[in-house]
Amino acid sequence: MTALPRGSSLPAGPSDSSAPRRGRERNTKLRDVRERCVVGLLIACGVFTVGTMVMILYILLSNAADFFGHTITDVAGDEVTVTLGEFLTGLEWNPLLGAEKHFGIWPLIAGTLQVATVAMLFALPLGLMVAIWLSEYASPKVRAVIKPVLEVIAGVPTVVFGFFALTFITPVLLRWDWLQVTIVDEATGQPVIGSDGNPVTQAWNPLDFGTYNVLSAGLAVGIMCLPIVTSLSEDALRAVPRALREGSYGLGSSRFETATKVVLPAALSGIVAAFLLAIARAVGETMIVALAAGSLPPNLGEDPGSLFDITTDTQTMTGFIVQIFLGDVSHASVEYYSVFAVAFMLFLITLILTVFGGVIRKRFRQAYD
Amino acid sequence: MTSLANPQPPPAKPAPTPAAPAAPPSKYTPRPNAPRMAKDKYFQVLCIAAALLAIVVLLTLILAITYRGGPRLFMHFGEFLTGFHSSDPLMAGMAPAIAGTIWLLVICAITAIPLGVGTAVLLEEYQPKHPTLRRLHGFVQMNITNLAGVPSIVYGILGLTVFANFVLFADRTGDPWIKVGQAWYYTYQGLGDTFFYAETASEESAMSGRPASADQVFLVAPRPGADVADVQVLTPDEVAPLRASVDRNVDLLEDRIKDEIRASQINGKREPAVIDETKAAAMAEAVFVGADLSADPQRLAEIATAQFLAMDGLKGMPLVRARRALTAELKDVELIAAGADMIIAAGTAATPIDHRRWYYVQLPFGRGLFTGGLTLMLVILPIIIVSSQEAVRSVPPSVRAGALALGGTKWQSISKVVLPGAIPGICTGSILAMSRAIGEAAPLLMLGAVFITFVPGPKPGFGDGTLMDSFSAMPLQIFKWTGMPKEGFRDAAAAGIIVLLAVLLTFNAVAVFIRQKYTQKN
Repeated sequence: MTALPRGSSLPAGPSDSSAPRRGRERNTKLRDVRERCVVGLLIACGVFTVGTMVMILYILLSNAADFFGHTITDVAGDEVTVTLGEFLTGLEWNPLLGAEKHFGIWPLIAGTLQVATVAMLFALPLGLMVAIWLSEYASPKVRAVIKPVLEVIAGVPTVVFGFFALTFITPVLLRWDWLQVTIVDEATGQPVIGSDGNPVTQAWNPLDFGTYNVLSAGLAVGIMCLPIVTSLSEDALRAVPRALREGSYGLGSSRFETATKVVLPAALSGIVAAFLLAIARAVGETMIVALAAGSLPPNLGEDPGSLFDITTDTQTMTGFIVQIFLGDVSHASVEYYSVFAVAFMLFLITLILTVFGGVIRKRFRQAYD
Repeated sequence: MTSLANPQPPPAKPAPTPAAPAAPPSKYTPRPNAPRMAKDKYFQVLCIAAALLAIVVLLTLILAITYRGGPRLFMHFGEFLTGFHSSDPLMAGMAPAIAGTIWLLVICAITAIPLGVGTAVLLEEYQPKHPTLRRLHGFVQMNITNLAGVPSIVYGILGLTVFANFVLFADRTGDPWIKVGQAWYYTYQGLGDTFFYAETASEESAMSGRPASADQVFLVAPRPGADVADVQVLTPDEVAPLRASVDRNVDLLEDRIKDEIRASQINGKREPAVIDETKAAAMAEAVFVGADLSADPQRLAEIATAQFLAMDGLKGMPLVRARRALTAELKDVELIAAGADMIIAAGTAATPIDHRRWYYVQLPFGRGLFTGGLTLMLVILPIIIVSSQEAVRSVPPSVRAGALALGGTKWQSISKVVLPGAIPGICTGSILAMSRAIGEAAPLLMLGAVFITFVPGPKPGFGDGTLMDSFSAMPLQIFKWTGMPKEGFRDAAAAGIIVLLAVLLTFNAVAVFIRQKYTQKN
């Protein structure tokens, strides 16, 4: 080390032509191949998600097509083919019971609508109010209490809400044990006297609710949707810039006026999108209606008024799918195939709601700097 | 407002008085404030009421479930977690459901997380510049939003048709085409209800059912998959004296016991028989030690005691049945002591059975755990993708630029810099997605068998159990119990809900913990 061979430069650097240059010689071919493989794998992941959607469409459509080709024997012994026309316009749905089978989708859609309407009447106003309160009124401390409560409700499995509907809400609607009424003999107008000498009483059931009813299932679905409405609406409300609020306050508005006349209109697209998403969830909800709503869709053909009856049982599209798959229906029967037509209808409705929500959120979003 | 409306402020007074608005008439009439403020107040009260209602609903839910399920859960806590479904609501347990849920989660996590993170990286990091590709990219993104909106029961239909049957039409079911890890055995019944298994090459040879002969001795094992045992094949002539000697000894012991009981009935008075372990042991020894067929003396004494009590009829046992069972057991013990657990009678017919090894795989997958896990994967995939996208997006662009400037390739910057930075977010999102999967019942309804009497899943080294087994899951079990007519099952369902919610809360707590920990760091 005493005598340096050339000049004063110490170890051979990259500029030294006699030593191998470190940056250049590295073989990058392998690296490039790996790079391409990774891109290929990632694209495969993306293709998988698209493939899932294609598969859903293909399976539902192809099996539904089979359903429409099926012939069934009607009550007179004639062979009748299930047609798309009957499916789309029919007002009666009784594939399992009764002598004559009818495959009109409207009763199932009506049943779905009943449950979803009750749910939304509960969840939308309530959820929006909680959202406005959280974003415009509540102090950070209160938010720290309410937000986790909503998150917990959002995390509760739907089967639990179904259990709650069947074992808590329904009994509350059904039997008012604490309010006993005496039974009156209709012929004489006198109270009926029991064997113990006292008038016979029974629990008051003023609205004559059935064991399975729309209201109970609808309320449970509403509770389930509440956190969705609240958290999405709140996100939309909080995305409204502070300057708008401050401008409103500066002009002397109250908080109520600021919230309803400035912030709410500005966040409307997001709120409508949240509502649509909640409706889609309510329409697609399965476990609650399978447990609490019963299995008899309103017969629109004979009794259109049953659409507005929330005390009797009903059946949604999801409820029917569950009923068929859990029953002992033959896998080659027309009932089994009808599931795919119903499932496609359900898929279509929720897809339209989701797409529409996305479009509204994107199209009508107010762009703020 | 007043200062604008009033061009001449009173000059004499330095401070404005409350009477100021009343001074000069203005063309603007001031709007009364009180109704506006009242409206504001009413609205706030209404909002608070709405928020309180939400809290009350949650509390009611929790109370209603605890009230029903709490006593049931803690009455038989261990049995509830380790037992099986039973027709008696008080004895019903959910062990298969718990095991099923765990396996479903494992399969779901292994498949969904790589797929989801991969898609998220593709969407966030590889945004193409070409207009057509851009549109395709946007389509994939939109498609994921739409997938998130698909009702979960539709995924169930997809699982049933595509994963369970590999067919696009629902009714074309049948035997699996390919089975890997399935073994066929001849089963021979040995003496004393012992069984032996001899592996065969194929299903066809197993079905031929050859009777046992001397050349198969070294092929036979006491359990499927166990080590081959040293088994004798005896001719009927050799078996007969063995059986006779055992029968004789058992009869002898029974006679002894009868004598003992008779001795305790002297004077016609029926006294409870007095027999203890030592006495029974002595009797058993007296009978069996002389003959050279002695089994474990301890076990013999136990059986003799039980035999005695059964014959005495004072323990309230159904006498005849208990006696028969005990005699049979005694014979077994004696036969085994004589070496019967290694003996097959020559000419015993072989029964073919199939045995699935723990790694058994079939195509199509059938309605088993694996199909269930894949179906749940479809349900939670959009959730994982969206949350991973957010996590990847939250990594600052400067970090990527730094990695690229140091000469890293795109994938190097992603795998070594971006993904490590996004891991907390990905973890939180994945855990929350998993907790969704735990509670999801609808897509499993058509796949799961609810009342199963075994714990599903592969158990290497323990014999039965594969990923193709039928399964139950916690929400499925709850659904079934809730729908059952017996009121007691609803209590069981409530108890199941408590277990389910406890698991979910744990999951959420872990997610929140990870989120908190890493937000503080950054």
